[in-house]
Amino acid sequence: MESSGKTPLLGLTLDGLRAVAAEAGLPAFGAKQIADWLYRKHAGDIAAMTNLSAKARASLAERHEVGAVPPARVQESSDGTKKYLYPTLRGRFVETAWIPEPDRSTLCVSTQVGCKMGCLFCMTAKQGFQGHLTAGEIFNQYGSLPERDRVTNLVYMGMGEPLDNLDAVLASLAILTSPWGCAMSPRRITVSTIGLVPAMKRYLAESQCHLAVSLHSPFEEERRRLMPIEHVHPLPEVMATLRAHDFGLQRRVSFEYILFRGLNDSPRHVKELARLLNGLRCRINLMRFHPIPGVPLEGSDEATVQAFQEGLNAKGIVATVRRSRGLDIAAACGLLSTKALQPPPPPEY
Amino acid sequence: MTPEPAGSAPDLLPVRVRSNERLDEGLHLVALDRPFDFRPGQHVGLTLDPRAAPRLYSLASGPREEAMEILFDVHPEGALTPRLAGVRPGDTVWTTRPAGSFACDPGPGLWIAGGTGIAPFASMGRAGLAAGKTLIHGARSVAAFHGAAAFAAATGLVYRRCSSRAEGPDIERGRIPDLIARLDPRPDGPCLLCGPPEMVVAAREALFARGVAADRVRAEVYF
Ligand SMILES: Cc1cc2nc3c(=O)[nH]c(=O)nc-3n(C[C@H](O)[C@H](O)[C@H](O)COP(=O)(O)OP(=O)(O)OC[C@H]3O[C@@H](n4cnc5c(N)ncnc54)[C@H](O)[C@@H]3O)c2cc1C
Ligand code: SF4
Repeated sequence: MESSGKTPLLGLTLDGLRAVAAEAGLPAFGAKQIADWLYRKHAGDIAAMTNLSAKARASLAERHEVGAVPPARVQESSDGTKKYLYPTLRGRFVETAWIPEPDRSTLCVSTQVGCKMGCLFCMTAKQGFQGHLTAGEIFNQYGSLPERDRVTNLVYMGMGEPLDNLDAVLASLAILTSPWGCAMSPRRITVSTIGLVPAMKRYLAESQCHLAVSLHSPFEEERRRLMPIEHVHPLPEVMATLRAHDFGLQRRVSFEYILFRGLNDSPRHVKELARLLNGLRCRINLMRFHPIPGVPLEGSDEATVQAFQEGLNAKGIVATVRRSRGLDIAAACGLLSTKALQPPPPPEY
Repeated sequence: MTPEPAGSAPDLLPVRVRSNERLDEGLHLVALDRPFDFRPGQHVGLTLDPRAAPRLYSLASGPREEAMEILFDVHPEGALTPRLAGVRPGDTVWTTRPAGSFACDPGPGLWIAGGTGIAPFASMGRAGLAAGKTLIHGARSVAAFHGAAAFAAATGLVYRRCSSRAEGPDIERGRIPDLIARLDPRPDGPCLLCGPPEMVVAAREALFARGVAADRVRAEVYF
């Protein structure tokens, strides 16, 4: 994406817009008017904000631009899933998956270019970390989506660890859910995390959106091998944080669990999961794994996936199996082919 | 000094800076008073302002030494490291208690360190855990190979270092994955990796390519 040198308005919360409005000589309610143009009417240009005076628009346009950016590329799967590639401010690309289903349509957004967390099973980890997305870049994946008006659910499960970019994620959630923004129900939005505990505490306190925690094993030693974060924020610390939080009746915590053949798919795992989640109002989403190059992990077979789900259900844990979508274009989060498009990472190690 | 037992409470403790050594451009070794016990491989959270979120640093010194050492890169736009690089003896730094389970057993194994990721292995080495290990150490300059002399002299440790930029008689040319590809014999025992995510991911795959099973590999990622 070319940079015009102007500051994008997209991504500013009401506080930020108040400062911008004051600078442009607009009255106090000017911030809400700009928010309405940005987040409800999805104006692509400051000139289109016709209820602002011509002078205010000219003043705004001197320093700012809307900052909406259309996707640079799209690939469509035979099942209707689409993978969009969005350019970012720093000349990189992120991917966004649009997953239409009969009863809901989900948008899976990215929060970082690449990721620092190094999970063994993850394609995004393989491209390293190339930067945080701004709140505007996170919002833009929804705001500039051709199917925007059909989105029923948003999941922050694309490239990156959302809670490693918490300020931008919280600002984007405020824009999506506030009355001055898109006024979407926070119950339609789920943010995932591998369990960055300090950031998770702040997220739970400052947002009302759902939380999904990537679990992948109930055993610490095994989880350490899959997810380096286990060395830093071990499962007992994650679970204690979740148990200490009052989720109320509406807000949901769920767990993501990818099934790997012969690794985390045994009856012993079912039993330990049931113990770990005992008494917590939650559900667990089981996912099939699709192999990634260079990593010796395989997905469990269908019979094992089913037995695992039934085992959990029998122990009173609500377990669902996520359908694999967009396999022909590899559209599961982080599996898209952005790596080839990114400039090479700089670090010497 | 009476060290307190290791705990996991997030409270911050004030500790005194003993020294601050600039090892290379943007690379510092800071020694602090040690108010607690820790296990080699553990990290602490550090901050100069008790109201700010601490950043995490592996402890680079031995667990029985008087001081605890932190080896860090300066991130020019970072919130902490540019200021941490300016601390002087007698200044106060705030630390969390030690935490983390990146640990090592005695006996054979492979250690792989990129840049400041050498810190936990320096601590493990000083705790007497180096015998039987092979250490692969990658760094950007001769001065950035922290602890090289001690590793080279450690009994029972095979020390190999590499760089794609620095040159020296015992510095092998190339990056860590290149050296893993050349390792002979094939690595034996548990493999511990520590450093920036790009290094960890590339080195891990180089190990898999050598036939090392995934359940033998564990990584501490400096995110
Ligand atoms: C378990 C663990 C152990 C660790 N051990 C060590 C260790 O022993 N030694 C070590 O050196 N590190 C270690 N780290 C990394 C360390 O915790 C910090 O992440 C690092 O020192 C950066 O801290 P900072 O406050 O200077 O940067 P931060 O403020 O946290 O910023 C992080 C990065 O973002 C960049 N950045 C911040 N703001 C901006 C901006 N406005 N524009 C552009 N870029 C920006 C910074 O340059 C920096 O690269 C460890 C991490 C973990 C998880
Ligand atoms: S699974 Fe998520 S947190 Fe882990 S490396 Fe991939 S994107 Fe990052």
